[in-house]
Amino acid sequence: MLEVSELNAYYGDAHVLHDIHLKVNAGQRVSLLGRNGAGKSTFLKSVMNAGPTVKGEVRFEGSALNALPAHQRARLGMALVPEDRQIFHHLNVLENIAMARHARAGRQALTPQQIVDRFAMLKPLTERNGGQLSGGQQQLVAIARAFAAGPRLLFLDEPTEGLAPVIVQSMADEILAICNESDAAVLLCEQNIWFARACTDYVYIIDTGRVVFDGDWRSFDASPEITRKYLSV
Amino acid sequence: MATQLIFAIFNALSMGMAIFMVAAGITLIFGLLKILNMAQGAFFMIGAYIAFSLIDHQQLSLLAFIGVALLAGLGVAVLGLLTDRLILSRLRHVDYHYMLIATFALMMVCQGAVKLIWGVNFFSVMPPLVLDQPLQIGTLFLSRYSLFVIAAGLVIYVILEVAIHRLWLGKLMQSLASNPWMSGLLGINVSLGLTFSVMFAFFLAGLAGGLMLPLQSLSPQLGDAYLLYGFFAIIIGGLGNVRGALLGSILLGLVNSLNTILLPEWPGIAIYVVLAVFLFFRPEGLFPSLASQPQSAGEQGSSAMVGNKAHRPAWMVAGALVVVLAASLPLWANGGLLYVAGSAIVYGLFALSWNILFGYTGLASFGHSAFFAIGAYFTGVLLRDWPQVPFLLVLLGCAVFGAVVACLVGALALRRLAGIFLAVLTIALAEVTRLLISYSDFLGREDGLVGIPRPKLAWLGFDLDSSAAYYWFLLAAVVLLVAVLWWVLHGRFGRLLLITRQDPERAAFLGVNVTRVRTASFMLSGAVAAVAGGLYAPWARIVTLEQVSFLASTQPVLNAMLGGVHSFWGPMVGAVIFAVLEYGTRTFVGLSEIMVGALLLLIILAAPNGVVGLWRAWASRARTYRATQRPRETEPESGEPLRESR
Repeated sequence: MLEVSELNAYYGDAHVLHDIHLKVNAGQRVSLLGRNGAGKSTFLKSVMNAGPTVKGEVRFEGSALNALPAHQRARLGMALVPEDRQIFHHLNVLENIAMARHARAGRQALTPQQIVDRFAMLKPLTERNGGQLSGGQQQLVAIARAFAAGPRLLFLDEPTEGLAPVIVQSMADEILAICNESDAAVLLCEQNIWFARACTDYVYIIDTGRVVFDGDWRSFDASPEITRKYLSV
Repeated sequence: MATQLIFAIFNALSMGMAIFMVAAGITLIFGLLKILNMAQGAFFMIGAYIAFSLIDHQQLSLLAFIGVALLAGLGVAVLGLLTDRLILSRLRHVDYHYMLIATFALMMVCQGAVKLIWGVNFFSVMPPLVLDQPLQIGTLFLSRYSLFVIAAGLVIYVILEVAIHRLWLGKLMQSLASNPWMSGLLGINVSLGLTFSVMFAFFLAGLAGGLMLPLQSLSPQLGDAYLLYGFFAIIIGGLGNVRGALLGSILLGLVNSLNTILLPEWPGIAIYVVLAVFLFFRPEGLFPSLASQPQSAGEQGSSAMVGNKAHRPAWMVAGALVVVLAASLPLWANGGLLYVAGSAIVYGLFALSWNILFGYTGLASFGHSAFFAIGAYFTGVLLRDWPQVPFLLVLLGCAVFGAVVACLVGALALRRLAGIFLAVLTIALAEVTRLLISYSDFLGREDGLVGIPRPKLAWLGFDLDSSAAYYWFLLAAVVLLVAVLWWVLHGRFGRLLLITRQDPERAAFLGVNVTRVRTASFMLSGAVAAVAGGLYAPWARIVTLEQVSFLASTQPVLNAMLGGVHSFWGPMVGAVIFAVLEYGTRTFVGLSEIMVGALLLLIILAAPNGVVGLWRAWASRARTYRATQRPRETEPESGEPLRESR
């Protein structure tokens, strides 16, 4: 579904990502782990062509994306939930979610109301403006919004950051349930290994802009020095 | 009395609605793109001219008239498409001052184009058939056409309010404006959306031009007044807010209407007073906008003001040679060339004064001609009426006068959102200066001061009556002033200005009083500009209202941008280059606005650092090329990875 090869990304003169190879199969759940500043968010932005200068190849469902702008990538079915949420403050929760329908491009998707019904915490908030939500509520809206486009591939950038553990559990259940129903693939960027393990079945580890490990959780566990070297604080 | 009052309110409303139709477009573009579109008035005027060409002295039916106005709107919307694609979309990521300058330049181009296509004559158009008779209510006669303008303004207001706050389209546009990055990730074509909104705002300008064509006679100055009033309305109402624009416009209409009743001999002055009062007591406007204000992007701050110090001795020799060459001019050049050279020297100083504000402090003035004119008129009057006052004292007076005016304007504009407010207030300053001069017999009204005598330097025994003598005095004075400015701007004060330009917030954290530093810079700039004007008056021996026009205010901007705003010497270099260009093309009269505007646009789009910037880039490329020549042979991978592989 997503094939990234030889991807290099730059902010101005700074070379941030070096020759990244990464693959996500249809319906697969993949984690991208790494410390702060390792390049996880930059990688997602590079794949969406939304920020860094990018060289290298990104193929989605078989076709090379080249210089395709971000909004057209979104319409192909790639949905990014950014780590800083980026909720529209002047729109209410339902409108925020509906805004993502511009990327639906004819695909089948849940309606904003159906999505709100799935995330129990959002139900009492539908009329509230984005600017009046707490950080955790905004995070939920950002995730719920991504589903309004009926994504084929969901990019989640540290969705657990700043959330209470109880919420994390129910949120993960709901995300996985919707992805299962629509057969959407997931690429999850995380620092929280426990959450990544609960949601995904394949791991990439990135450190200072380079992929240093990839494999399933079994081989991840087989080499504990990886965690020590690249993930522990 | 009651009749008079109703009539005054009626007039206020009709003027207010007319202003609103222009202000609405300005506030829309500001709300969406964070651009203060200085060319909005010019496009309003183009809409009026398009409608005029379509109507062509016939008297239309109401429907046909509205149809013509819509066509004018569409025509201007097409121009908006061009403007956005060619200019605005290319400048979305640079410092907003460049955008301001670009739209200012665009205004000049539009004015020049209008003069070229339609000429400078006044035209007038009759209101459509149903609306040409007054409406009688009791003893009251109201113009039906003015009623129509009021109704049209209200309809436009309601449409905008509904579209922005009720319709999905408006919510979409607000999303684009507030967070273009996330909007793109949600599948929205941001660039297209912004282009459409620019086109819509331009459509409004053109439509307003068409609808209000019969309200006044049509001339190339039509846009100026509406532009200023539109700016004032949105400043009073709150930037980027349609409701604020409406209330601000009506308030301005009321003020102007009272002005005509209470102070008929000073028409149009009260609005400036009200604006000043508002800016002082409520600078955020009636409805502070939730939208964020434009931030200075880092691009402008990245260049250093100082070139390579190692090359200084070579440049000093070159500078000395230039001064010697300039000093020898009266010995071999003819009168015409000498006049151009003397003017270029004055304009160089003038441009330098503008760049103290822009290049060093990061603030742009669009009415710098006001300071120049203040100096020129001050000197002209003193030389004419009190020739016994020592000339150097007169020049000192110019500096003080300029600094005081700058201090007053700065006190109003620099307290908060410095950039945008200063842009509007400096334009207002130029306009109010022009108005005051044109109302004053003492200052020669529209004719200006003519036959200004040249001064004598009594205590030195110099008589500066001949052109050569005054030219030498001019050269010496400018060289001296520039030397002093160089010293000031390369010292502690210059560094203070630079850090407030590069990062005002961080400067404030370091204990710099940013407002005070900016005001000081503005005062210095105003003082130097006024001295330039003071030196100019006896040189040209005539000072007219042209010295306070938009064109005159563009001159220092152009010269500084042309030479390079990131260099102390850039403005002087630009003034000389422009003088040469002007001398070479002096036969094409009437093209000055188009030439000045187009040149300025070209520089901003193609070489925003001017000639000096191009020279530095070339010199540093040449240096790195020489430096990397040898290592590259042994280690081909070194160097910049980005450029090499492309």
